[in-house]
Amino acid sequence: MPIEKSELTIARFINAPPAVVWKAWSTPEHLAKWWIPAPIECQVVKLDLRPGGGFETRMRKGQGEFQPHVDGCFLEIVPEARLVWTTVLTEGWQPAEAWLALTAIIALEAEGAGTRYSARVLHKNATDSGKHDAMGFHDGWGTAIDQLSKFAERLKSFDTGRVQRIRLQDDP
Amino acid sequence: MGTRRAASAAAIARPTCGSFEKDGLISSEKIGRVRTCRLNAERLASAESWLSEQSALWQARTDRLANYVEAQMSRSIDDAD
Repeated sequence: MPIEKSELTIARFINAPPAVVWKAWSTPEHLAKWWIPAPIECQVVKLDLRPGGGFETRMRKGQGEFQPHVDGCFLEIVPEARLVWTTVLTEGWQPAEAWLALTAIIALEAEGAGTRYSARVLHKNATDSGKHDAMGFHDGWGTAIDQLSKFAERLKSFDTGRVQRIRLQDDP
Repeated sequence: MGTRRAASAAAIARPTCGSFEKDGLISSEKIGRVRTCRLNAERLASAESWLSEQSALWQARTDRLANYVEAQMSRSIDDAD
């Protein structure tokens, strides 16, 4: 079996200095605004910025109960420069069975008047668990999948459990 | 070649159903003049490569951070000065 790539890196320029980007990451009120896409509401439960400090966010749709989102632990904190956390441990380095095991390495570097921001995310393997019920599902699929989901929403009246029935025009 | 061309014409005419049926995302059954398709929600969830999905998720998250910082925070910090 070929060894599949199991880590990813996202990098982009943000037009604000590292101090401001750091504030957006390290302040619960700010983090809640961008961490999970609207209209899903984010609640920052723990944002204890020290090695071993808890990192917990929850989410909810509409007026429902808040559901688990991330429950992890910070590993390394360098203000305005670097932030490392994992879901393999929770607060106080407690080993945990994460629904999605990952370690995220967030780096901020001054670039001109702005910030070169990067997120490197390590996973256990290339197809870990495939759970889509929390972060993956709510943070969005690819465009085609997203469109298809919306399409499926419109067909709710034909709902037969997990299977949606739709009618199409006759084949040519 | 002719077959391939015919297939792409069909895909253009009905891209969603054509490609998704091939991927097993939907199945269809024709009764009389009506074709009924079933959309497999579970299959749909694992349709994309898992890592590219995670990557898209982090890209979107990073973009939200950038948009938030650039649109909301720069302004409020300027105001505070």
